[in-house]
Amino acid sequence: MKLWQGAVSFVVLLLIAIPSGLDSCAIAPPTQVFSTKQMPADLRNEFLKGKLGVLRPTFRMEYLIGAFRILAGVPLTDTEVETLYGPETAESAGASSTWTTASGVRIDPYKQISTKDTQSAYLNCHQDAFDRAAATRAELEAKWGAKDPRTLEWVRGQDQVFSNCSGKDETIPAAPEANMDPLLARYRRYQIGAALFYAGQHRKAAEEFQQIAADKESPWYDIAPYLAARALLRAGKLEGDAAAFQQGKERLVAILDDPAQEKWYEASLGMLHKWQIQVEPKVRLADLGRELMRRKDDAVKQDVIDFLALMHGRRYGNVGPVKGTETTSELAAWLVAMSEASKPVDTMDWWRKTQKHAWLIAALANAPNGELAELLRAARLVKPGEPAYESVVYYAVTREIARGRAEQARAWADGALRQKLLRSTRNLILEQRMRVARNWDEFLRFSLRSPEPRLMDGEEGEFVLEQNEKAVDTAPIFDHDALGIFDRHLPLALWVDASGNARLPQNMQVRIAEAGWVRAVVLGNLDESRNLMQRIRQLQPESAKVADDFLAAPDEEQVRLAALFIVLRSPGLEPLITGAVILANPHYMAWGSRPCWTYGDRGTADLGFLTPEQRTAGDADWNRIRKSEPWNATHLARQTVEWARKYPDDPRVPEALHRAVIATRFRCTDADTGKYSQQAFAILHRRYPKSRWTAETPYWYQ
Amino acid sequence: METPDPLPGFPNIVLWAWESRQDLRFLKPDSAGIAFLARTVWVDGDRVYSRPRLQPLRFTPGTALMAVVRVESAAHGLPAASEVAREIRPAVELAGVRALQIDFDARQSEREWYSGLLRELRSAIPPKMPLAITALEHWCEDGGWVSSLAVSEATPMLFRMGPEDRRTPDHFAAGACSTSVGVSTDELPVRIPRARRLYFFHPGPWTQQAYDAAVAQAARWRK
Repeated sequence: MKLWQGAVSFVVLLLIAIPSGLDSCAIAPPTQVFSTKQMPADLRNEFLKGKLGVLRPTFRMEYLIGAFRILAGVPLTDTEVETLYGPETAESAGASSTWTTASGVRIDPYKQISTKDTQSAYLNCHQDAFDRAAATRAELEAKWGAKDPRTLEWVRGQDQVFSNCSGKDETIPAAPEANMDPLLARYRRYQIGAALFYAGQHRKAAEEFQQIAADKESPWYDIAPYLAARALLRAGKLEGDAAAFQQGKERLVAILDDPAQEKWYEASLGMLHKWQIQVEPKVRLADLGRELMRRKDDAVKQDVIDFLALMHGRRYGNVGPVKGTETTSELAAWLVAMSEASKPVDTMDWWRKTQKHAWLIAALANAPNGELAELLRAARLVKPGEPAYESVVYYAVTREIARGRAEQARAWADGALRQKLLRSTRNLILEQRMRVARNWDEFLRFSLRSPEPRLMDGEEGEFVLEQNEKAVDTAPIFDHDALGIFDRHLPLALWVDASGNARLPQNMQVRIAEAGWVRAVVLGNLDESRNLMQRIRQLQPESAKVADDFLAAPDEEQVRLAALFIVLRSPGLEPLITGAVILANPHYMAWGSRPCWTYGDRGTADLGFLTPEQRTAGDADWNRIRKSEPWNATHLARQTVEWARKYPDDPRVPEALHRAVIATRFRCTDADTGKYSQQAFAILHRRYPKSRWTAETPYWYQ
Repeated sequence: METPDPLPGFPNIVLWAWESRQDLRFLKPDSAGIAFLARTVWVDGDRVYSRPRLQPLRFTPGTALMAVVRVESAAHGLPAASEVAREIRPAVELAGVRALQIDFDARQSEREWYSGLLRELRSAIPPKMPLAITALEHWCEDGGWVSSLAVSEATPMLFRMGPEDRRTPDHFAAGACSTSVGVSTDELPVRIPRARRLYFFHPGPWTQQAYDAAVAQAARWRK
């Protein structure tokens, strides 16, 4: 069940081939991205160099953290970049080297929890334990020799220690005998402690380690206090032993207070942080918020993991979401302000007290209208090229539109569009500018967008194409906003105009002409259907035969039958411009799709560029289309059966019947579909037994 | 004559529970079984490594459990099947597991090796424990290859299938493919081939609501 592979492989095919008539249950194929919603389009060449684009609430938190650092003039170090954005290290502990016993058994580091009502597992033995054991073995082999009985006894004991990593039965090495070599005996004490630890006897393990800590001759004397603390923390976490948890914390603090144990500070601090996440998550989050604002070249990975876990509210061990994250640090407050969730952050207050561009962006996005004048004055001082510029302009435009100041919005947008902008930003500004188009010409001009070349949007969100994958065609096309306006609001006359309007590239003219032709047929406007088919013929010479057959239809009934034949042959055709160019590739059916004409509810829009008459005509067209019977499987099969009965000698009929039956298999169906599928099948087989279309139709479909 | 049930004791609906926290205690043991991802095994040239499910699965005691082992190949060669079988083996030793299902999208070049792995597994797991696999749909259409495998059941997965037209037949003739089909709740086909048992995949954790919808859909298909 690889959920992705198929999708990615067909990315190129699907660039504009997004069928609107997808079965509601079907999974949508990846689509092109006009403006990034979750991640920068080019992290290393743009974002990390200060071209942040428009920071949106939908951005993943790791990118917002990076943006905040850049806006604050504290850019990320290379180590931080790799930690935040580098490839995930998917290597599991199982992939690493573990331990192979003398009898050749490779140790499984995971402890299984398998009960009558639960299945789970956790990583019991970590890589450092295996590494430490391997190093000890090498030391002993060098000291005593590999075949020395003492070495072999140590290996036997260590095999027993690690057998507890995944084993169900506890295996504890025997206590040292009185005549045992003193050094081996000390190793054995340590092995007993470790075995108890992995066997889940954490309290006993802590006691054992504590005894080792009292033996200054033991090779494990200095690490033993840390191990005892760790065992107590595990007792607290895995067994709910609250007292042990507290004692473990106190021992870690004692280590940190002891200059003699400086060697174990870092490890103890790491463990203490784990304790703190469990017990004082908010305090830890506050610390992390401050830590992450400092440039670091050492390991920051755990800090980032912990911060994201606490900010996201994901469960972290037995810790629930941290409440009041916005109060823990400036970074956390800004992330909350820039998130999609409810925003209990006073962005104006932050802006006024910090005067930071990050807070200007957050305030422009969120502050009440009454505060906008002050913010817009500050926004005008942000220069093109500054990291905040594109976000500031975008939010200025959107806020001006939202409060009905179209002229001011146009001024902001037109000023920005004269600048060199990131592709996604340009598309976002164009989208806003189109909303306040003054006329039809402006509407068409601002409706065209050029998709991101290396970014796609799929089932699991945005993703960057692999190096060996072909880039997305960046030729300008419509984004969903323009498509929605065409489908819902524009009268047929404007479709006809657009299909020949030089403002639009030819590929868009074809798409408009094809969908407009279907629309004209459905609306019963035969004159415009002819005009649009002629336009298709001009734009797309490979469709000449199809067009000529349609244009040759002598009367209204024949026009309707010719249209039916075309739609039967071209499953992607529908009265909405959401599909690919269809007639040049008539048998194309999109991945996973079930062509289905559906017209969902679409809200009204305040389109100032339309005249009142155009609005009325557009609404009337839309309402008629919605009321008409969709040309889905049942409609197509029924119409074809009627055609076959009335004109049995029409040479197109056998093929039409075959395609009608196929439509009942692959298109949207309803309770009546089977009846017409059977009728079409029966007529085909009875009247045209020698037709190739009959041979290709072995079944009808219920 | 109806084919004997390859998974006796399993209800006719089985939920695939993938690697996320899954609380399926709302299931009654006789209403649906659970095929849970128990282990993932990676094979990369000579290397084999695995890890168990790390996210908890909760269920009502008595629910029919099938351990699913996902095999991922890096396509850099294949190790000895016996080594892979050894990594899979712990999955069948989990408490309450009554059947084993292998999920491996074997490439053409990996099919022979996969056949060998299944033979190896068949002899390595308890004789009465059913050994099943998930199958790409075209495996079941080809027929021959799947029929030769040492498995009780091959479940064709009717989802995430790629761009080709869907021409799923009314019934998969290849014996092992004929008893079950697998679908995903976010990509339900209009019709499915006739089959005794339905496997449902659900993106993310299962909920009572998602389960109820799956049951209702199964009833519509079986009408």
